[in-house]
Amino acid sequence: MLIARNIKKSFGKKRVLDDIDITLENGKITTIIGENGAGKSTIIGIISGFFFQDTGTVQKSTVSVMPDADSLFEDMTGKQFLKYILEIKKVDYKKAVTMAETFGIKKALNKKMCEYSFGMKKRSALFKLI
Amino acid sequence: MIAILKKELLSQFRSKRSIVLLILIILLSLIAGKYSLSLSISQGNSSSGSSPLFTVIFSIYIILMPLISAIMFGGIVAREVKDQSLRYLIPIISRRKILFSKYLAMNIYFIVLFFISTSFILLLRQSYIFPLKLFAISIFIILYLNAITLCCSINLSSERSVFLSGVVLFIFFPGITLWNLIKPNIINKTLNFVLPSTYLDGKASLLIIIVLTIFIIWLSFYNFSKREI
Repeated sequence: MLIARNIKKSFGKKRVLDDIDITLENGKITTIIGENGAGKSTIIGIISGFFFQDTGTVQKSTVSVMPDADSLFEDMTGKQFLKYILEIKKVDYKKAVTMAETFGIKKALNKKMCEYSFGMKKRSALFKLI
Repeated sequence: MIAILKKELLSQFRSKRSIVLLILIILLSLIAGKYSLSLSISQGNSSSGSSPLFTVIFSIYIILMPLISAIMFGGIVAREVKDQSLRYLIPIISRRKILFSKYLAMNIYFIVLFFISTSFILLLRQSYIFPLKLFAISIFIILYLNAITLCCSINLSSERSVFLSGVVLFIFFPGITLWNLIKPNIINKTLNFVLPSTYLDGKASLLIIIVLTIFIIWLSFYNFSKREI
């Protein structure tokens, strides 16, 4: 369960979020829809801890966020990156390799991530979250 | 935390920059150990291993360190903020742990380099008295200079800016020493306390550099905890 209440956020003089309330339930798919600049990424950034709200509260447990695919550690191979994230998350590497097969990224694990296609980067980013 | 420490150390030791630096350090040690026989390794306080040779070698490293630290670790935070790769870590590990691991990696890297160089000289000179006191003082100076680099990497927007700040410090520190020699006054005497060489020479209490380091680290952690990624 994630509850955000009365979230306000400005970048400089520009108010991006004004009194936003949001409740996300576990096991449910929730979509945030809005125009460019409506503040969708900002609210996700606040939930993830990338940004700080000016006012309001966020109650959450663990949150997994898939950042932009272009922000992967490009000098690492897929395997190095996977081991790195798993070690921080304290997850078994062998289990992850089995899962990598399902995601279709096992063969690419020995390649540097800067050589990945955009789709492969997206899949890798998603895989590391799960 | 250990994962970040390991990643930072491995990526540094494997980098081309690090290999070049290691070769330079070994070459300098080789020259110092083999050809600078006019500088004695056995004079001074033999129990702590202090000697004119090691004082000169460590002074050279300390003069170069602001520049080397900025070259090697300028992007340790700035690059990851800029390319947003830090966003993979922020949701799963605290900012404090991220920063502490990075700072620890920076210090271990330089302590290893200093140790390699010292050991190399001792082997070449066939002397087995380790310059323990000088090495210990150097560790405090490493902690201080790396804290400055880390602080710059957090507060400046790009790796290049951090490198430039390293260049400024590289010029500033000897500049103050020179100014103090030419025209000593209250300003440069006060500024002496921020100079690493002051502590290497034993002219000031180590407590001052420890307080300075703690303050810079506190500032770095505070700014990083407030920084939007």
